[in-house]
Amino acid sequence: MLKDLDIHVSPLRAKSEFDTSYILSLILDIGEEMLTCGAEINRVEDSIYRMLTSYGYRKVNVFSIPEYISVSIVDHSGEIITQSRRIYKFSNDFYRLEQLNDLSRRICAKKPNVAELWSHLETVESVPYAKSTSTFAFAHFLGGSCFCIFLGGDLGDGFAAGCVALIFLIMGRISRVQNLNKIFYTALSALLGGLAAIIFGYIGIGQHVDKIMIGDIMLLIPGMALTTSIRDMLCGDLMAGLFRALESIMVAGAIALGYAIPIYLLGGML
Amino acid sequence: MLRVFIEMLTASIACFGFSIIYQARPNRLVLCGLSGGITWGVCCLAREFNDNLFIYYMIAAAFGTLLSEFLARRTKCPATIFLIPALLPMVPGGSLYYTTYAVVTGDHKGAVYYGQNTALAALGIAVGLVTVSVLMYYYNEFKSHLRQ
Repeated sequence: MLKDLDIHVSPLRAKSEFDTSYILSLILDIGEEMLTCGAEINRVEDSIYRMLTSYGYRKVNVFSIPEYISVSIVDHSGEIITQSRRIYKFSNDFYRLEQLNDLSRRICAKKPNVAELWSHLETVESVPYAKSTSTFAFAHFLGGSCFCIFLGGDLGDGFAAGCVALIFLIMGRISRVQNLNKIFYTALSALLGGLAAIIFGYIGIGQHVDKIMIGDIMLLIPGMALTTSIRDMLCGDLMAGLFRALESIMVAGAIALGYAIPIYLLGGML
Repeated sequence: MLRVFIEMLTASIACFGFSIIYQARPNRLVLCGLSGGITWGVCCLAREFNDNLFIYYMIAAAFGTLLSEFLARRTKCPATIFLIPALLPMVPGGSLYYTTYAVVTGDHKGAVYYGQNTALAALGIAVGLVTVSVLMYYYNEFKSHLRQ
């Protein structure tokens, strides 16, 4: 159902070099990509506004929440055009964010026509910066184990937490292929992670099961999302802030539920 | 003292790892990690002077935002790339989990206690961040005004 959402509308059918509806569509694609890569709401709104006004459109109205962007403009002949995007994905991708930021600055300066805009966007899209799975595994191990020691675990706990973090990596990969529901996938990861942490504690590799769990939680918990949501609210984007805050509380609930099950079932082993 | 040093070191390495997960460029990874560690060091320092969670988180977040704005100027990339790793060690992930865990297990006193801590920490970070970014915005406007 969601397959053809990633395609940028090809400019072949554009009526002129600066066909407004195509330019608007491609600029919205850039905004969508920025949101998907984890940009703040006001940065996305501001970038879209700047790009569209640099083309000379008037009455540029941009509204965005984490899952939706809507733009309405008046073009040079006085016609009113409105387009919108629904966003389904969310991740943090600093590399692409950097590139999109550069691209939006270049667009404001040069005002490329439809074909150029399309090819710019395709180049940004076509440069994949996926690191190898072993690098990701290393990063998860480092993140999990160091946060465990940071929050008061000893070296053994750190090692166990690093191993549990690898389970989250595998779960993340599976969820991306299977398109799992986020709440369900988080609860399932937390359940498996909690189970593994208790087993590590039982074997004797880690002494403090709670510290292993807390260290690993940093990989799952949307603490950053909670903080940004309050930031959004303070900046005046009440709707976006509320949505993100609610989502992070739901995900935190899912994690607590996932961890609670193995603690109830195997609590006697601790 | 040793405890703070270990915390700064592990926070740096953890932020380094998280920056890899967040797909930062290889030449930015060390800076991302260090900004996390240094911000946590400032947080510990501020805690020595004022043991109110909200206040010292606010000071540390303000410092982290300044640091990441500075690094962003130097490397010419959006400040978010350094800001997220810098604030990561302070993010109330642990207490958010304890809150929901207390709610799930029916421990009302614990839920209120941890919930308060989570809200204060998140609010403190956000207030520090917003204050500095608003001031930076006006500073930039003022500078470009002078140039014209």
